Amino acid sequence: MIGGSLFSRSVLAATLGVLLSAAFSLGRANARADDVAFPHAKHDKLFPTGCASCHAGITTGDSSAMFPAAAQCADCHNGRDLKQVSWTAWRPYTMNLRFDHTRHLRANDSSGTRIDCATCHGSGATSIQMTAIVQPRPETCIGCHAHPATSHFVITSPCATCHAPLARARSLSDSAVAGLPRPVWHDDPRFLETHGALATEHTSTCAACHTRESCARCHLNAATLQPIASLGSDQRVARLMRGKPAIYPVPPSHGDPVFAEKHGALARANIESCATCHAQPGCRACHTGPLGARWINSLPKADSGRGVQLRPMPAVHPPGPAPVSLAAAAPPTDTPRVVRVHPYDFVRAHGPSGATRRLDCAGCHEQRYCTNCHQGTGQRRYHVYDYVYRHASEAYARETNCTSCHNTEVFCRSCHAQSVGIAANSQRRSGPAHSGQPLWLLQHGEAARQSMPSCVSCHQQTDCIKCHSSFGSRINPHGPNFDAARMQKKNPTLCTYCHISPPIR
Amino acid sequence: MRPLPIGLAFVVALSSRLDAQGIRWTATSVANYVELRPVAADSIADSLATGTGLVRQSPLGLVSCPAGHDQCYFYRSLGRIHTIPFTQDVSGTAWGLGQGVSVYAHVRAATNLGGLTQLWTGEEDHFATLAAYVELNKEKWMARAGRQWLTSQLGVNNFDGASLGIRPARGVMLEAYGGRALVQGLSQPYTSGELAAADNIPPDDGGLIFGVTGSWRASATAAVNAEYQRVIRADRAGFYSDRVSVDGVYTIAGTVLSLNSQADLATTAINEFVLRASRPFSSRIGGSVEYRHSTPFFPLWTIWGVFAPVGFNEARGDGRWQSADGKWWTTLGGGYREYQDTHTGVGFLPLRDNGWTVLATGGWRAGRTFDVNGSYRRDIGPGAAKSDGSVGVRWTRSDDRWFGVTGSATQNIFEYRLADGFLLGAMLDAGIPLTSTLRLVAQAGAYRQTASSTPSTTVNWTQRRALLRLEWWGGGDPGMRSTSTSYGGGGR
Repeated sequence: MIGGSLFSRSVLAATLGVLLSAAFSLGRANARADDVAFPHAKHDKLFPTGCASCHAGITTGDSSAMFPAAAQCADCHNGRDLKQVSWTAWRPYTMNLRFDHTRHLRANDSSGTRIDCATCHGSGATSIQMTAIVQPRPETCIGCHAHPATSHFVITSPCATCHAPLARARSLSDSAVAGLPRPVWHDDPRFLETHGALATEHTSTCAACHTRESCARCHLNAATLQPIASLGSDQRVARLMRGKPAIYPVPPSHGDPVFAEKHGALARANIESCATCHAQPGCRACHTGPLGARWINSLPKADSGRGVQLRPMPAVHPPGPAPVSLAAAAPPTDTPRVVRVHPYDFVRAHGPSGATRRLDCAGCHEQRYCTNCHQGTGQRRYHVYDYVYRHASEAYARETNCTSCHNTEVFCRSCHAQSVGIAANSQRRSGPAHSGQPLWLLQHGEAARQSMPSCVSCHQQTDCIKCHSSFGSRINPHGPNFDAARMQKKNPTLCTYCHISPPIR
Repeated sequence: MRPLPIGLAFVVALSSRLDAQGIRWTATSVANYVELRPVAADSIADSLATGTGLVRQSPLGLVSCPAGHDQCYFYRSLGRIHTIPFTQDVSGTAWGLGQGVSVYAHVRAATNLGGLTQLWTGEEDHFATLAAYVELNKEKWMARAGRQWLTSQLGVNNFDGASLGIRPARGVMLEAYGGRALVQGLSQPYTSGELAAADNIPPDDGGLIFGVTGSWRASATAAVNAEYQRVIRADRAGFYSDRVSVDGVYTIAGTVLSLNSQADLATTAINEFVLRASRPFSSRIGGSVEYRHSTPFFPLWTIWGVFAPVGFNEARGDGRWQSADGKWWTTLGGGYREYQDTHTGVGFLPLRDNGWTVLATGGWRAGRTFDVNGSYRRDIGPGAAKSDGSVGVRWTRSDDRWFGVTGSATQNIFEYRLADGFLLGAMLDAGIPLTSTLRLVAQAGAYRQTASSTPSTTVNWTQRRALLRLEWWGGGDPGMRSTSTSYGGGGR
């Protein structure tokens, strides 16, 4: 009951202050220096009509009558009867509470009893006494407003019941916003991973302390996500977020060794998830073609320096990181993480994947990307430095298919057999590739059949025809399973090279 | 057929409307400075050599002293010679000429800026059209006409003609192509002067290429492809090649199985048969094993294929590890191969008929901007063998500016052995974005034969290399950003 006690504005201020500090809000930072506490206890006998003597508006909803005017104090504190006091009229406090006294006074508490002033401001007595006015505690609110947890700071708290969204709590200063307490669930190691689902389910809880700018610090797509957009915008938070680094944890899916091959399907299934960290330029580091354009175009257009930066990473020297690697870095302090787009052995094993179209090569690569290596005189550094000196053993082992890029007759002989280059002309008959033994002639057949391309890299056909022809030394070069009829059918002209002189041209 | 003028005419004719359409182009200028040292045979009296056997020590280094000869032989490096080839590539794609219509052209000009022209193939070929075609790409089919690249397991080479691909069902692609064949690795017709200059029995007729390809991506884990290709003489009198390839990829229980096979129908030789299983055991550990049979392929305008070349069978394996934070990684691998019976040779002069390789690579990403990579490789086999290691450090800034240093040490173990020393190399490379669409890449390196405990006045590989490359690109893509995709530089 609102009766013979008088609430002073200081009591209310203190009450609200405690509530705010215990809950989401302000604490001491918001206490106003010009507040003068009203000593209710000293005035205990003066207001027999109770609280309504000074706070009639609490009951009626008349905001002008919720607190006494300064002139009302001067009735007694006039300098003659009592000393004058300095007092200024009540004005709203900086807070984010949304408490309606009038509405509450029309309701019952959890036990069905009508709510009165003593419900919140009494010290346990059924009727409030001026000497026993207390500040309401959050537990008092929670006593009626069903709260499933024992702590005030749990995600399931119905914050919006008592607290206004931060975007609408305009009276809070920047420092007050910065001083909002940090709920313990924010310290959960998995909070970054799980906060999206929590925010979707408990958006109003987040809104008590956060605005759109809080999320846009990391979320590139903050403007398009409904839960974030519903938080509203606020310049105080924007100022607080300015310069704060974004945090981009690596999602578990990205740890899959073949994530690069799977990421397309994941993106198609939930491109909004990608848009949290990635903008269009990041994807187009690889996607120079049309592959995935439909989904890429739905990502934020520019990252403005935010988001995970992706860029193709050149190999230090072959064999270094796979040619198609990405350096992924979250600004501004994260160490870039190398992402292998293709498996580490892809350079050697990419043929079947490309031929079968299991991977859409053209989706990310222009054809020039392939021909840079495969046309033989490309721009990309395919071989290690000074491959001239290093290439012999790899050529013998056919480590790579030299003829895919180089024409043996023209390219190899330009060094091996011309009058300049590695082997001077005088060496063509006993070049360094031979054993240097006088009996090399007896060995050369075995060596030739093992590594014929190396012979061709120096010798022209006539070098061999001199002996291996029906008009030369008639030494048969064909192997045991040679099918002469089949070969004649395939290319009869070829037979004439060795069996008819001069060959039929 | 002059596909380049046709392609360029398309671009020029439509240039007035390009604002509403699109074009993407790349221009790359490359100037190389390459030094080489020819070698010549020389000999000294065997009395000047010490030791016994074929390889002996002499005041000049290691020499070869065949039994019954009064001379020991060695190879002596001649003076350094050099060449400075310059190539200018320009490529461009234009689209927006209708739904799915695009034009692509890639041309190259080359010249010699100094030194010997014979050292660098293609320097005399002052102008070449590598590709110039019109493409019409629809949902169910795709057609190309002009000089275009064939990229298949049977080789990557270009031809003048047309190709038509249809997509009759999801994941299925059937393609046929045909036209005038160009020699692989040359981009020249079979009757070109370059080939005639390199061999005194060059092809006497041009070639026509035909092929069909079918691929089927049955699911995300299974795909197959088969291709038949023949190149025939223009006078239809015979084949230049007649080949088939079959490929497949299948993922089962996290293991990727792949098959790669090519066969020569003329000689009935299986040129390549590779069966490979690769498995990532976790995000940090993976490995692969591979069986390979390889027999070289030779086109039928040469006699080499009827000289019964044999292949080898090889087993390979490798494993990869990387640290949890991805900063450290290493790969270890190796292989062993055995050659098939050559049905020739003499028993008392056996040649090696097997070979092996070990390879180790590793890297460390140090902070935001530094990468360190290293590798070691040892090859032993018939014909050639080497021991080869290198270490590189690269500093990369976020604006794509980079600077790298690579050091190497190599020794060819048999042929061109540098006594018992090494060829040490140091190479610097740098990339500098001059503008958002212009980048300069520079490399300079020196190789010095050193650390030999014996004289090495025989073969001396000390020489230098340098490269300057200017990359310029522009335009965009429908909804896409122009991107340069070339890195590093020529490694010749």
